[in-house]
Formats: sequence, C-alpha cells, structure tokens
Amino acid sequence: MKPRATSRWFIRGQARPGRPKLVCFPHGGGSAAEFVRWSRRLPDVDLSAVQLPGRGSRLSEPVLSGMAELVAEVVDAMPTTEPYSVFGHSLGALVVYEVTRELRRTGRRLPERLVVSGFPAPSTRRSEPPVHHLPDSELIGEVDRRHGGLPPEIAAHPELTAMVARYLRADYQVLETYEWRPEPPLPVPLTVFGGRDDAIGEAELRAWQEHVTGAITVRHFPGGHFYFREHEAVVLRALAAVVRTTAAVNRAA
Amino acid sequence: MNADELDLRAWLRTFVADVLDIGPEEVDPGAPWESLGIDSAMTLVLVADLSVVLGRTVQPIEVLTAPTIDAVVEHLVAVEAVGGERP
Repeated sequence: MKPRATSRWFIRGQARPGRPKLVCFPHGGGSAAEFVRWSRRLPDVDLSAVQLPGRGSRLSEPVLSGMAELVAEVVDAMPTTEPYSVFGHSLGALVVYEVTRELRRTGRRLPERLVVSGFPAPSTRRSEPPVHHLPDSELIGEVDRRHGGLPPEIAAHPELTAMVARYLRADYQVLETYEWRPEPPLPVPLTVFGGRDDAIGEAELRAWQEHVTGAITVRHFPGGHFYFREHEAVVLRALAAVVRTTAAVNRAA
Repeated sequence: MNADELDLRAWLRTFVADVLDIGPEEVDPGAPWESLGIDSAMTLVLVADLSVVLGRTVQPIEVLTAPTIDAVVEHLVAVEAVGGERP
C-alpha cells in the first residue's frame, strides 16, 4: 500500500484540536500560506489548506495541468474521517466543486458545507481567451491584468518570473482545458462569497444554485477579486460564522 | 554586519512570528515556508527587510529555493563565509 501523501498536500494552520475543520483551496497561482495566515483570525476553526505541486516546499515536483489528475490526487490524499467544511477561491472554487463530485463518486464522506468564492457557477462559465500558452512574462502580465494580486517585483527577477510562471501556467491549463459535465446536484449546503467590484456577475454567482439540492446563500463583500485581502477581518468573521454554524447544526441533529 | 554575527535564525523566526501573530519560540525553523504563512509575495517583503539588515541584496530565489528557516540560514552563512554575491 502506498503511503498517503496528506502531509505534502494538506498544510495545517495553527492547531485547534476539537474545533470545526475547514479545508481551503487556493486560487490559480495561489499558495496554502495565505490560508495559514488566516488561521490567526479564525480562532474557532481547525484550518488546513491544499498545497499543489510545483510551488513552495513542492517546488521541485512535477506540476499538474489537468483537472482530472489534480482531483484524483487531492481526493487520494484528503482526510475525510471527521466532519469538515471546504472553502475554495477562484480556481480553488472549481477544484473544490470537482473534488466534492469525485468524493461522491468514490463513496467518501462529503463536506458539511461548500463555500465557493470569486468564481461563476461551473455550468455558466464564459470562456476567456486562453493564457496558458503565453510566454512567461506575458502570462504573468495578463493574469495580473485580469485579476490583480501578482506583485510587480516578480518581473524584476528573471528566476522568480520563471518559477512563478511554471505553476501559474499549470493552474491556468487546469482551468482552460476544463469542461463541465452535468451530474445530479450535490446534497451539500452551499455558500457563495464574492467581491462587489469583481467582474463576475450576480447571475453567474446565483447560478451555483443549480449545482446543489438545497438553498444557497450569496454574500457580497466590498472589494474586487481579492476582496478578502481588502477587508480581511470582515470576511474571516463571516467565514468563521458559516463554519461554526454548520458544525453546530450538524452536531445538534 | 555579516550573517555570522547576526542571529539570522532569531531574526527570521521573529519575522514569521509577526506575520502569524504568535511568539518567536512557537515558530519551527524546520517547517516548510508555507506552513509558516510565507508564500512568494511574503518572501518579497522578507528579502527586502533582510537585505537592509544584512547590508547586501538578498534575492527572492535564495529564500524560495531553501525550504525552511534553517536551510536559508545555512545558505546565507555559507555565502557570507566565501564573501560572495555582494553587489
């Protein structure tokens, strides 16, 4: 039996044994580190976050550039023995949706709640011109133009440009080669978070409704695609409340 | 001031402690950067501060290719010892 790769894939925030678990999935080009930093403002949450290969301590590993292989590896390493909720931002929202569908296919424990952020319902997604074939600096420039969030200093360091472009390209290839296939809606409560000034429309966020059986909640926050960086305390208070309430409702049942 | 004189490990643990709002003694110098909340964007902040402290330009890649605080300290002390990579 091959060893489970949980420790490479799932990075722990500050240890909070006994608190409701939340597993976070980063945006394209993102890192588990950002969620580890959230931990200090989520005192009632036992947080962990997915770290994809090709970045951070997994820098030397081959990148994954297709949704199917990425989802299979995540599901293989994912701890599901205890109840948990999931949060995914942008590409992470799409990945966590596909991970949940794969968990259902393989008969594993589903999350108690899905929180998806900054990403339109997979069934409604418009296709933008692909960027994953662009040369390194154009790729970084175009992603930053669309969504922001990439430090301008990257361009000043050629080695850094190459390092970032490698995993950013892989993440965008996952996104741009993804094809949504219909499946019955998931029996999982769903909350949608979004930034008011993000380019994603209200209707595209509301359309997440068709992917789950229950009613969804949509929460708008001030700010753009990375609204949670603009108003971290407000967003994390809301996220903590969602996770806590979900766990409390299920324990009481 | 060179890397031998400065307690680099203590400086790095304090940097991380400030990011995570914990005590420096709680920061594991053998833990991967992402478990300490440090990604490539935070690394840019870290190397800017570290460059001032060391009096030489530390490249982001020097930190990003060293997986832990201990590995960065080992690298920086070795670079200082051979007197190389000064601007």
